[in-house]
Amino acid sequence: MTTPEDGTDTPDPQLSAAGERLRAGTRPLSVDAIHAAALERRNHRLSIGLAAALVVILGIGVAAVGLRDDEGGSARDLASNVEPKTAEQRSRVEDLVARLAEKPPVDPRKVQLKSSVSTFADCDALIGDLRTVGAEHVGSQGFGASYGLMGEAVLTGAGWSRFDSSEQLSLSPQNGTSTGAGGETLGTNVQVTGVDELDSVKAVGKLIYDLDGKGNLRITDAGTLEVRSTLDVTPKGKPKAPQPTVSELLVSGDRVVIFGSESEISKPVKGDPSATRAETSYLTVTFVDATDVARPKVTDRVRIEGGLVSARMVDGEVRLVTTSNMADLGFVMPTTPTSVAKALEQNRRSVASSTAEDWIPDWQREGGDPQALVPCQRVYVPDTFAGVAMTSMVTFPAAAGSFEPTGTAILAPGSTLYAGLDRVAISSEVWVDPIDRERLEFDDWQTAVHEFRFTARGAPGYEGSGIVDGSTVGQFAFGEIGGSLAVVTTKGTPWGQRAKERGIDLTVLTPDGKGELDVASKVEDLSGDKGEVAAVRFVKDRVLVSAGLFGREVIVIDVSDPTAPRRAGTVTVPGAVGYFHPLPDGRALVVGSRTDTVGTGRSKRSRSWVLAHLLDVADADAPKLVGTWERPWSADDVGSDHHAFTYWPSRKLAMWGIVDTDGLQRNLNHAVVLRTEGGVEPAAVPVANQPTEVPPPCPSFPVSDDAQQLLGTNVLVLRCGEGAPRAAVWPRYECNRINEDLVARFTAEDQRSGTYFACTLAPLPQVARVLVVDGRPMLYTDQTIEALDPETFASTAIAYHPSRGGFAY
Amino acid sequence: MSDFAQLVERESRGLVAAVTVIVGDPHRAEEIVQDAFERCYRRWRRVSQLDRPGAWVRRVAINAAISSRRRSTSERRAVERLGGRAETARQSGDPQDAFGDAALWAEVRALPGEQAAAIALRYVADLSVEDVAATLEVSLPAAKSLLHRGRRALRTSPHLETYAE
Repeated sequence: MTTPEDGTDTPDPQLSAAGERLRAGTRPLSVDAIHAAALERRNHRLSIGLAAALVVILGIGVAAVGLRDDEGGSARDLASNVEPKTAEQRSRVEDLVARLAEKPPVDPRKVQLKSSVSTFADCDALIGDLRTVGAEHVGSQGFGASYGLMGEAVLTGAGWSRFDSSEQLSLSPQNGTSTGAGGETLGTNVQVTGVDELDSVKAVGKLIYDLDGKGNLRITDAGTLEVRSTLDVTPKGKPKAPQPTVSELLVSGDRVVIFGSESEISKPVKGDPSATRAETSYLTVTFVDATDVARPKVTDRVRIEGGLVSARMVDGEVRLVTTSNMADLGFVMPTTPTSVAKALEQNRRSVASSTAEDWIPDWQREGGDPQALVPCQRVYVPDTFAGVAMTSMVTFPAAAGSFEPTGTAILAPGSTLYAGLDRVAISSEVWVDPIDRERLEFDDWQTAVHEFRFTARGAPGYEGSGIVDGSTVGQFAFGEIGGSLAVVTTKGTPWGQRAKERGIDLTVLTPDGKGELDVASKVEDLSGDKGEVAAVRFVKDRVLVSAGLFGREVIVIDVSDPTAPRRAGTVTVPGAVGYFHPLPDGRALVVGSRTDTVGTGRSKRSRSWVLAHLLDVADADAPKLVGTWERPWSADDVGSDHHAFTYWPSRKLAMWGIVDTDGLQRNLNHAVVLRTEGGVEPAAVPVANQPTEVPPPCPSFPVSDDAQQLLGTNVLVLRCGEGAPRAAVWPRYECNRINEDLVARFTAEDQRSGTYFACTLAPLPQVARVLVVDGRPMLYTDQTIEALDPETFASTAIAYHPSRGGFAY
Repeated sequence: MSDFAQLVERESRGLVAAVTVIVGDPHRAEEIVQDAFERCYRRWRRVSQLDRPGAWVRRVAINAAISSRRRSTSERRAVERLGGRAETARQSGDPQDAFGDAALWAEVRALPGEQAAAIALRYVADLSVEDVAATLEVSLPAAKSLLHRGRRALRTSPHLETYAE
């Protein structure tokens, strides 16, 4: 167990406090009870052992029958994209289900991985293939992997991070530096120059566009710090249902595209006594015309089935990647041992009678009809079933003001996916049901990589597929070397492996012009079997890899000859590596961390440091550590979110927010501004000030000592009038409404009118982004926006500007 | 005290609390964690050789919690609709829930499995990010990223609006 100041991160006060309350109310387990249960289980096992042996023998018998009858039907029987209604159509479904019931399950160890994909002339041909292949692979829990915990999560969760953090970079990756009348404005720190990425705040010209955490788009004048407009971009959901949210945005000129999510809860089925309702989630895309800064307006809003993997913008063209887990197929889950077989049969029937619409995600405007996101002809199906999710790549112009998608899709999970300037790479593997993953041993695991290319105003086109050894290592797997796709892989299967004993390879794949990606070159065993990539960066002519659990050693791969990449020198840096940022002249800045302990005995504490190292990798064989800067009692967010980092090319300054981790004192947080010329020297460590103090919005209400105990000793109670807002806004404080039952416990009957709020001191502001707008550096925190002097970095103005896109550690 | 007893003492409270968040029911959570420790006990000779036996037992429990959660989703919805645990806790003026903890945990539970697990382990079981990574068998940056995404999603949750107007 650790104390909050431990390690390299900062606690979230709200979650930590709630977690502590929950922990305090939880009983630890009794060792005796565990011993007793283990004994009981052992006795029980002995008695059922014999029965299990009988079942296995029976199972083998059935399998032998199934094998003989294997070659029965063809996909053609089911190639008709209509829901089976006629007796003949239904009997084809039943035939397939019956055939599968006799057939042994697919043994994933014996499937030969193919590096190719198929497309189909029309929806009939597509559905014929999907029905047969899908029904063959579906299990009693559906395509179970979409719920898998470890390894390749399919939905927005892990897919997101993998995509966003694949550290493919060329030089000066700050996006879209623009020069206003007064000075330059820096865009978001991105992977590839010219490819803008999603963020919750964007600076363009003299304006700051952000999402305020309350479902509004907010436009702020960076000169005056005045909010010019606040536009609600989340329509009210139904009461008691999950409300729509927005999370990130892209800005092109004065057009804003906002991405969010919403979900819909089904109506109970008539006559269902349990009135069970299911939930489906959607990605939302909202278009805003902000030509008139004071009066921006929503011009279109659509929802797309599934979740957002990520989006990019190149020359005003948005490239959106979504994944959907084909919820329309409507799988059932077994609830008891006896229902497993029924569930399997039902799921096979669902797949065998599915239509193309069930597989292809659709999109819809409010009140409009659903439309397919991608036509059947542009759905690619890997020739080895990778299962479980449809990844769609669509493009549309931001300036159109409405959703007009052109797209391509592939039947493979979107979690292992890379998007560069104009290419998208998706990996697929032999599909293994999660239940089998602990059970089966795989030798020589391989991964197929499919490459797609975005073209101007057209749907992404298929380039080719190749096979690499091992599995792709999540977020850092892909990059580009000399115009070819490069993949970092680790030996073995993508799940259930210990970090030790893992070899890491770098493979470069080049299209041969005939639909194949050839292995052009390969560097093997980068980490000396130490495994686990901590951070990777593709920079000009070099790939930097820091491997091992804490990544202290930086391995330099020389890729100046893309046909012959080679492992060159290594350099050891103190502490862990979080992030590499390429700098001009063959240099790179490393943002990292380390911890040590201070004090002795009971006062012994762990202390975290933020580190920055300047590396010179111009000579690949002799990389050098040029300089190091560090600061105690600090932590940062850059390792997990490269958007938190800002590089100011014209002044060669690296800037990012850090939080104070000395939990014993309430210290203000800071940002660091480092000079990266020569060595690495602090130019300034500007403080993130609190918002200006103001009186409470409503009078404070004195409570008895008992009530104070009940509410918490550091809580201040405010009593606002009748019809007061749902929450009180009070800079420096966080106020929560107290529910009526609780109010009744500390107020007299005649005092119950009005709204009561419990206010506690807010945590100190944390710098989420260091912006440069119109030549002026600014601290964008979760509570404020603060302008700094460009020379001294001293505070010149501050405004209360609460947002939830704060320090996201 | 035996090593195993020490492990139970050290890990079980936080783990039960974390699993409670994932499955939404403290009794079910106790069963799951007890079962994980039982498996650990049966394999103790092997598990005790691991660098982090705690991570092993946590992983078993978290995996079980996630699969239990997907099995019970429909049941839970029905219970919640009928005014189950979360709702009653919120409306009875329970001092433990003065700040809407039940709603907060419901939001955490609604996150994708890996994110919910990371948040629960970090903030409820009070583990370091390194321990979260070891438990989920992901790299340190991946664990940070899960926490980051989870917290970001929670921030946009209407149940957690502190500054709402």
